[in-house]
Amino acid sequence: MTGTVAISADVPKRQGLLAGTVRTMGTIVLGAALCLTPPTALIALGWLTRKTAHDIRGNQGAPSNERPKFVRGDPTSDRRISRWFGGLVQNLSAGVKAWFGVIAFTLPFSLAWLTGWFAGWENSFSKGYEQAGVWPTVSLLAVFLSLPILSLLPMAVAHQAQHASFASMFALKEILNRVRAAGWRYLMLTILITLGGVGVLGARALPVFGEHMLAENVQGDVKALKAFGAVFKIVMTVGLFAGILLVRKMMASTYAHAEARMSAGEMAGKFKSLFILTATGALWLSAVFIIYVGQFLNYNWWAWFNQPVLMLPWLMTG
Amino acid sequence: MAVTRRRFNAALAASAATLQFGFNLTSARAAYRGPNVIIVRFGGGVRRAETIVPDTTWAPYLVNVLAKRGVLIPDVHIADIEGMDTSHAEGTINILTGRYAAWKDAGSKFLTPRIEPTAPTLFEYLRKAFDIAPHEVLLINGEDRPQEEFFSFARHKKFGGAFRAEVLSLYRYKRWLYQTLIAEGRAKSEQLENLAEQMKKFDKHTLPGRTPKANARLDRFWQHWRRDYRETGLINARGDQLLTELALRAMRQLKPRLMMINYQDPDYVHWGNASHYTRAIAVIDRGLRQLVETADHMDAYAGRTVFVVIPDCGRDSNSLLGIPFQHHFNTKSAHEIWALVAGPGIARGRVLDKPIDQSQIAATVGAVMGFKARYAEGDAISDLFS
Repeated sequence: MTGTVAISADVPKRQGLLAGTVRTMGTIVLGAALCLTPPTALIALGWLTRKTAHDIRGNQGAPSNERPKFVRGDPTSDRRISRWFGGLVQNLSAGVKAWFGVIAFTLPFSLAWLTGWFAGWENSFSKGYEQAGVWPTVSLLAVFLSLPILSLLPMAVAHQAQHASFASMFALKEILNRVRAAGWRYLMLTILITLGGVGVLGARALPVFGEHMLAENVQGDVKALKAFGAVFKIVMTVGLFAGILLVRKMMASTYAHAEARMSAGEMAGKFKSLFILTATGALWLSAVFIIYVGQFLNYNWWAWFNQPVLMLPWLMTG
Repeated sequence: MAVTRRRFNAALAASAATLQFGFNLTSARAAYRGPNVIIVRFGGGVRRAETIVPDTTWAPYLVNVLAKRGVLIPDVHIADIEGMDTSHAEGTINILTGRYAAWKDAGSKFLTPRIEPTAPTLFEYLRKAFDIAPHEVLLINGEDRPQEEFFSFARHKKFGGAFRAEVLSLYRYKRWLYQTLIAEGRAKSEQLENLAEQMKKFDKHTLPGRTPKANARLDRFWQHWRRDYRETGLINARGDQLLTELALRAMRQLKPRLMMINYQDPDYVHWGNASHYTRAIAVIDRGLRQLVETADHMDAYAGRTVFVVIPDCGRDSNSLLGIPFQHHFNTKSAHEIWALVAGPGIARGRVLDKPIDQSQIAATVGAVMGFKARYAEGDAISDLFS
């Protein structure tokens, strides 16, 4: 008589969980590798954009395309080159659109931040007392004017991902409606992004003390410091990409939630919306403060224009 | 008067005798007949690469002209001591006292350290050893660093305020101007109100026993300053060029025997603009040239002035940052500085290629001027003398 072995219903679930974990780890490793240089970070940004759109459709329960890949394209394509590299081309295209879009969205104030900082310190160095107040005033104005724009930025990024066009970044009325519809979820998303900014500050600030971290660095061993810098950058980039995946996931779910509420005519009231936007503005104020602190510790002019959590996922370290 | 090795050793012996008895053998302080000394704090924190390395220097006068007139010491080191920082205040006190960690906190705030020396400074050693008027021992400070007022004398029971240096700075000018305007009764009420507000801020920078004292020679000095530059602070030179202007006018009007000029602007690179660092070095270099050329053309200084040029601290060389020298956070490079000593009795065109400690500067100045910096940790650099 042959015995039968009961197969637990959990096994397929566990196998699925394992496969999912392995896939996520692989995604993080590959994505982080792409984020190590600016040109390849564009590819990562494009993939993140396409993944956000994919996740939005998933959250909406809509039939979605296959999960985007970093390099491979549509496996059913007639053309071999499309099957092998179609994903790469799509990622690059999406990344360029996303990057140009977000740069254009933020350039008016990020340029003023850069100019205010540079010109302000130049004036201070030259002891231009007569115009001492000019550039600090410009900087403060630029900071406060940036807040309403930044408050909309996460939703604008999601909106652009959904519509896959440069121009959709500037559909302000539609973006604002979705922010109103998203309600408290949008505030939670902004909190997560602000925390991400703290992580980016850590990645920029810790190298300042890099020479104190290891005995070889303390002794001024140049090779040891370079090796440390390389490892540090890799570790921080992995952390950054993993964090961005989390932010993007929440971004997609917030966007889908907003669209569902809009379809159902459930918009947050004016006062609630105003409160949420004010609160997100306050969070962005702290995020901007963090950017300034980062510049004092480890100055890089490019850091005025690029915030890795929402923009090009590239850390300027090492 | 040149400082030869024989005179150097004799001065050490005489100073030791003076200190053993606790007073000058003639019981009154003798007139000072030694050389003038001008200490240039090439400050704000500078690396060797941008100063003394010929291929990368931003200080061509220092490297190509002044170094040929004296001894360049390329390997001066700030000792790496637990709890100590490579900073401007600490470095200046190291230079002035010849001791590390010879200071106490006097109410430091974020980005504004306020520390007082606790070991005697060169100013006090000199004035206690010789009969020198307060205006002949000067400290030239930048306008926005009133905390450097505290370097004019130490909290030390055997030295202290009675032997202080006088300080020249725009901060001091404003204090003098405010009191003068009140005494003249001529100031418009709005002007007086503004000055009264400034005086309240000034009072936050004073400590017990450190309120500036009346000095007729300095009153005349500031009167001439006011005549030339008036009262707005907008006509006079600014930044580190202001310090050069103050020093040059002091040489002409006050003829100090010992003067320290605390240049600082290279430190602007903390805010991220690399050109502030290099331009500031070039400004100090030009100031140095003006000081030396002025000394060369004045009877009181020509052939009788020793220049001691030394940074307060180095800067980082952190390849992990966009600006490797943005800060000076106690790294190996921040401990690496240099010194240049030039003048009568000092060897010419020489490079002293052996490690020297920053704490040795005080004893060296003492040897040049004929007093012993008794509380200094470091020994005088005898290899300097011709």
